[in-house]
Amino acid sequence: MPEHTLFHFVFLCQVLLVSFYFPRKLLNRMRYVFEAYPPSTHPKLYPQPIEYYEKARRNFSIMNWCILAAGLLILGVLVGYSRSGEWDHVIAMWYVAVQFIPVMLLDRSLHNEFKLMRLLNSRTTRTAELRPRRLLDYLSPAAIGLTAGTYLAFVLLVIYVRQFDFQWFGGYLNVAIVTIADLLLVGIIFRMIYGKKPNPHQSSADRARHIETTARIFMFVSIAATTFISLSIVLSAFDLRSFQPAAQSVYFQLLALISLQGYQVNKTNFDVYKEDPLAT
Amino acid sequence: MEIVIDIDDPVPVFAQLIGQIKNAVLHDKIRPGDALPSIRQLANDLELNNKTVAKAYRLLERDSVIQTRGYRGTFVHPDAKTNSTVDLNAWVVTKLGETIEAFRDSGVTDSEIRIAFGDVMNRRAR
Repeated sequence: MPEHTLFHFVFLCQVLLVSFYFPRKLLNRMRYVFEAYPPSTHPKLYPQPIEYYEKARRNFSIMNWCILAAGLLILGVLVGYSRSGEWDHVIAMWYVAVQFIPVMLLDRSLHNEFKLMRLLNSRTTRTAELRPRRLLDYLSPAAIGLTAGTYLAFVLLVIYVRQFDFQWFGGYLNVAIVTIADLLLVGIIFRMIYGKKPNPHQSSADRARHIETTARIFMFVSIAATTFISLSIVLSAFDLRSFQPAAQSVYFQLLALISLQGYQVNKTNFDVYKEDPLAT
Repeated sequence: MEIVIDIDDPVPVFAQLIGQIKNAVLHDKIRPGDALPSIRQLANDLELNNKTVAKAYRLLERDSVIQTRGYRGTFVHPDAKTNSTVDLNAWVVTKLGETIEAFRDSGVTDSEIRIAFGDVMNRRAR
């Protein structure tokens, strides 16, 4: 059946993009940082010995290679044995959860690094900008309007479709899930804008750039998630659920591509990690 | 415009904040009507207690260097530049100095001056 062939092709793209291309990019950026900003010149960037970071980099690479191999194996089984395709969307969903584990561990370790940096920070001077930070500094009214508009369109779609009530339709549960997810994203953004700075050495300009990038990523994620769930509802309503696994896989790949923007290092000010000239 | 606080400086942190904001006004780094960060934002950025920043803002508002407009936030006062040159503490020291000199010229002892000062302060506090 063409839907299954389509899914197999899209799933292959998912395996290669999320477990090969994406990790390669991150590993190259890590290597660039280690080479361009080594501990000898930027000691504050490395609260732990360099061997720790090299080991973490190796583990990240190994994890992704294993997940890539597993993905290709799963694809082989699907192509060879799965004819009905009824488990395709389940496999795509669970496999992507596994694919994102290395990145989630990376984010968690970054959070721990910032904590260590704060503990080791012996500077007695602290700086702050003398201007308020507002959401509109990082997202244009049009962008916020587009996100809100997408959400509103989704709610209207659910209200409209609900009168037809068909199998696999979760009704207002869909609205509740999307609303909770959006509120979570908004909460994270507000915490970034008004909360404490996790990285004690980060410059004001870098902080502003990081908030802006994250706000835009979250905006795209929100729009993508709302659009995907709307598409799923429409596919279910028109009895086209067989295309849902492929759509789901494309959605996950889009999320991965959007998330990659949050790991840019080329505009980061690394001078803040140099040793203080007046440090005793 | 960035402000820098040194927590090891003998000058109290709230006084450093007041001094730097007044300095920023006098050197046109911030102008009348400019918005200032909220107490919470500034306290988070400088890793200080909210009360320290609140005290600095309260004193700046007393000196009419800044003004709070409720939920809209805090802004630089229209007459901030003129008011930033007024040093209330220096005025207090000058006035007290003149008054104490007058007392001493009249023969009042330092001990009597201290007791009377304490009595007057306590009476006002009640």
